[in-house]
Amino acid sequence: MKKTIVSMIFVASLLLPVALFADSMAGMNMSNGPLASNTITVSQGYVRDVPSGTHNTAMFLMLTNTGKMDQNLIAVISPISNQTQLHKTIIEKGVSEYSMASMRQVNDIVLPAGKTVAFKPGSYHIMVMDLTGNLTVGQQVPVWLIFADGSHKEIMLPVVKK
Amino acid sequence: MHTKKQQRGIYITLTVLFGIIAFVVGLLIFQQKEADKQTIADIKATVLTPPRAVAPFNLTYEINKNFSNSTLYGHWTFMFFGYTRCPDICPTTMAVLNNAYETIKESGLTLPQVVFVSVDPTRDNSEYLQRYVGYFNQDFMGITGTEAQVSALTKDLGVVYIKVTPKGEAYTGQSSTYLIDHSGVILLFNPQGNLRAVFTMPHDANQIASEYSVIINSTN
Repeated sequence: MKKTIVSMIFVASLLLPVALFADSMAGMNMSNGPLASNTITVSQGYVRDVPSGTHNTAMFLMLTNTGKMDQNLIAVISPISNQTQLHKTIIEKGVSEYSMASMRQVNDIVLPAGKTVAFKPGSYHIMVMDLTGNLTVGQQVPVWLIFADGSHKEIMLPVVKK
Repeated sequence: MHTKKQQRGIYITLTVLFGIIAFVVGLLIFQQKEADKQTIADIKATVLTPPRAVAPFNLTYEINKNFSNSTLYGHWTFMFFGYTRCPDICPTTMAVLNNAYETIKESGLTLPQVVFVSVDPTRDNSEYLQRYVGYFNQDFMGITGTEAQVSALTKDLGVVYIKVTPKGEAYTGQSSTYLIDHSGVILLFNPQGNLRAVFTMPHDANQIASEYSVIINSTN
């Protein structure tokens, strides 16, 4: 029961910004909306190109929080897929002879004030699951970063073969 | 015309310049010689001496083509284990293997076979796998088999993989969304089909290419 309530609150918290999005999307310029984050800057971002027919890919980028307060990235939305998750790759020596590569979904990623957080291969990445179509190198992909305070940032990331 | 003093200056300058060039060239040759002297004792990869025999295994590539111990004979083979829904480690490693392969090709060494083994046979069929690996390099092979066939090979090689939920809990088979934790090693087999070396993460294309050269030329 408790778990259900928690998940309902979680879903609601996700939908709230989405609903707000839909509003600002009607204005066709989300970046200038009242809830657009002005303190997060993005660099070196890309969506990894994958062979056609592949179901999943990942997005990598550098997020810099130029603000005075920590920001908390809680979700990412993009029309290229039905589901995106925040992931971290972990490489560790487990029970086996050789070190294991594992990916884990994380609920949120804190972007400390004045700091840059790198989403890069072997570390944090945005896991793009269930691609809705094939990607093309050079294609520009719209991506919305959603923060815990209800603000968001709209960015465009190129598809790159890496 | 230059004065005697000017001429002397020119001679000194030329002599010094020549000295510097000779020194630099000498240094480069020396470094090259040192690099050539690298032996299997110096490299980062774990080299198995003697090479370890591999238990009999049977897998499939393309459509119903058999990949077994004998497919390893007659050439060196790099083998990596992963799954195509893996968006980070697997494509990164495949790109590293492609760069290593191209470096090996440019240096004129004996070309290895490069094989990607899918540890997700439920979702990766061998026909699709071939397209997947071909994206990274047309010469690469993508193989898999039944769950039992894949685990027979991985168990023998000490490679581990386990299905988990995105949160890392044990996967109970209730949803099609699962991730696979897997060993990230690249294995190198010799032309007799025995395990010769193990490359551990993080993988580096230049290291793999240069150490491949040392390993295949080693007489130990």
